[in-house]
Amino acid sequence: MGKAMVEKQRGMSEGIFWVVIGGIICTLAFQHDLGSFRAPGPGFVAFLSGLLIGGVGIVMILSMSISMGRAKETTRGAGLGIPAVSLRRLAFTMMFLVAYAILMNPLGYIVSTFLAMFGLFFDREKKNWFWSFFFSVTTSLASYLVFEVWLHCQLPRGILPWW
Amino acid sequence: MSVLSALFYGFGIALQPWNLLCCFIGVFIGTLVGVLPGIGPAGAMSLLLPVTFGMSPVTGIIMLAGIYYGTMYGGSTTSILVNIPGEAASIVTCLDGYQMALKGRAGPALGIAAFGSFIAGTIGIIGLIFMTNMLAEVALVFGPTEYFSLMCLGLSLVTYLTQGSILRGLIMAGVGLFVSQIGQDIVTGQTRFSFGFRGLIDGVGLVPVIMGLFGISEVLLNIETLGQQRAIMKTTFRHLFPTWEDWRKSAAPIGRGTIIGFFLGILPGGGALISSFVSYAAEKWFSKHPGEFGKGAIEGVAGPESANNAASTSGFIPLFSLGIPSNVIMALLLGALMIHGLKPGPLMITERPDIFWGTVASMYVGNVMLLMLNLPLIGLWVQVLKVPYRTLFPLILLFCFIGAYSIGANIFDLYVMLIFGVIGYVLRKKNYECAPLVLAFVLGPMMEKNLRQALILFDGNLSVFITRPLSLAALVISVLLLLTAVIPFVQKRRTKVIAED
Repeated sequence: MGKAMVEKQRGMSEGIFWVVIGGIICTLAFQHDLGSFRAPGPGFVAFLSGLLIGGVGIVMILSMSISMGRAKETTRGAGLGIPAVSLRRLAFTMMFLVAYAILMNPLGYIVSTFLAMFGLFFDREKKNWFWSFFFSVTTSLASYLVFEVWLHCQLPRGILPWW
Repeated sequence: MSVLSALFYGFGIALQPWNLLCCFIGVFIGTLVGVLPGIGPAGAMSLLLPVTFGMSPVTGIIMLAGIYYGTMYGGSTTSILVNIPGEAASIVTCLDGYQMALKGRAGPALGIAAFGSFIAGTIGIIGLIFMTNMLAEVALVFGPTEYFSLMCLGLSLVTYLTQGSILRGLIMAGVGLFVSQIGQDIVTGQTRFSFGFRGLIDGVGLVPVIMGLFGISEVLLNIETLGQQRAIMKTTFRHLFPTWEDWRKSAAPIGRGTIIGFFLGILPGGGALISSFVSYAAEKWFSKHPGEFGKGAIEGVAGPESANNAASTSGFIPLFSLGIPSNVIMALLLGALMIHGLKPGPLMITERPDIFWGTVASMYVGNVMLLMLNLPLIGLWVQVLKVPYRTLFPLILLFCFIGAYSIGANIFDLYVMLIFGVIGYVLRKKNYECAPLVLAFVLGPMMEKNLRQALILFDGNLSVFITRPLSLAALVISVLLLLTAVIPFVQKRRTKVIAED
């Protein structure tokens, strides 16, 4: 199969994806009462947004099937194209971020920030334990002082209620 | 109150010590954000939005506005010294600014960028005062039909001017519109599209969405290239002040850049980015030596840098006069004003003159501060550039977390931010622009309110949108713009222009 054909198929799949999304939005909007033109209901504008997404998705499919030239437009966006090393970095970063969000309330701001920052600062190639520890302690305490003490942001206290 | 006395009143507010300090913090952070590639003005403003809650509305807006125009100033430093634009509006400055730096003329390049920005910013403020008042008076006769159609026009323009496919821009606008519908219905109070999550009953927060789409996704994109070193120019800054010859060459480009930037900045979707490119193209066209452009022509720095600053000032006009944001940054400022209980629109200037005149006067004060910050502190900004991204990105992520959390002290907002971070990352990898999504998200509730009001008011008669002249004009322009998506010649031309940009 030629490259152009693969790209064209990817463009078609993209169009189909948005048609499905548009369809889902329209269905959801329908469930929330569309109302009428005289008295539009809560789902009215959402329905229009679903129609827009689905409609553009259909135009995408049509333009892909009509024009081979248009298929070239998708070349840059075809596939996420992430190298294995970057993918590992991304996965680690996302893992730490999700864990940070989950642990922030139970552990409190300072402890969870320290753990998350340690994980994010740590360079798995250079194994920089000391600097990661130093930076994460400094960051946690400095940000706590600035945002909680100085700017009075309400940060979670967790297991250190006296802070 | 005459314009002059109102301006004095504004200076009285802007020069209060606390406002002055907040203005300084804003422009300082803005410059820092502009210098650092990887976090843009939208991210920085979202980050500091919760901080402004404890302040008076005028102080908060002064600080947020300071970040915005501070970014425009700071962005030029990285473009000239590293050939990496700190923010999008400084992309074009790379072309000649970096070439000047390579020739040992980094000082005059930075100097003319700072002076040009100052002059354009100052003239822009004068224009802002008169145009906003004029437009606000006209806008008093606008009804829901006009407002709805103008918002459609704004959205269409932003979609049209986004890089890549218009179809993708339209889809993003549709997605933003849908996300804005999550939460309670404005008329019936019914909860919609919350999928059983209590955190969605009040809708999706603006700050988590922007933090996710612009902050988290930007970090995720940059992490891919972690480890790549930035080459920073080793240059001395003894001769920061441009020579008379430099001034002679730059005077007209600064003037033209200011005019171009000012008028393009008013247009929805125009903004600083487009105006800097248009200014560059204009300078090349006006120049007797167009061949010198791209090889270190000072006109190629003076024009675009003036244009992007004038545009960032005039972008406030539709926000203050109509209550319609012309770009993502203005959408964020609109959100900030609304959080503070203010309703931007034609009546704001008369009802809350402290906000309008205080902000306008603070912009002038901020411009003076930026001139003083940018030139003597260039050495400091260069040092900041040397901070490796490996050290920087955990801090950016931390600020995003604090920003999103402190809005409502709600963990759910962090999940929303992370989800939008991943969505933004995937979308940007697939060449979808996030700007139409955010603008539609912010405009969504206003569009819904005006559309439903108009339909109820005119008994469901859709023809009202085409029988009122302004509404008709706005809708016709919107349709014409979007039709270009299916006209191959126009689309090719548009793609070529954006690609050249």
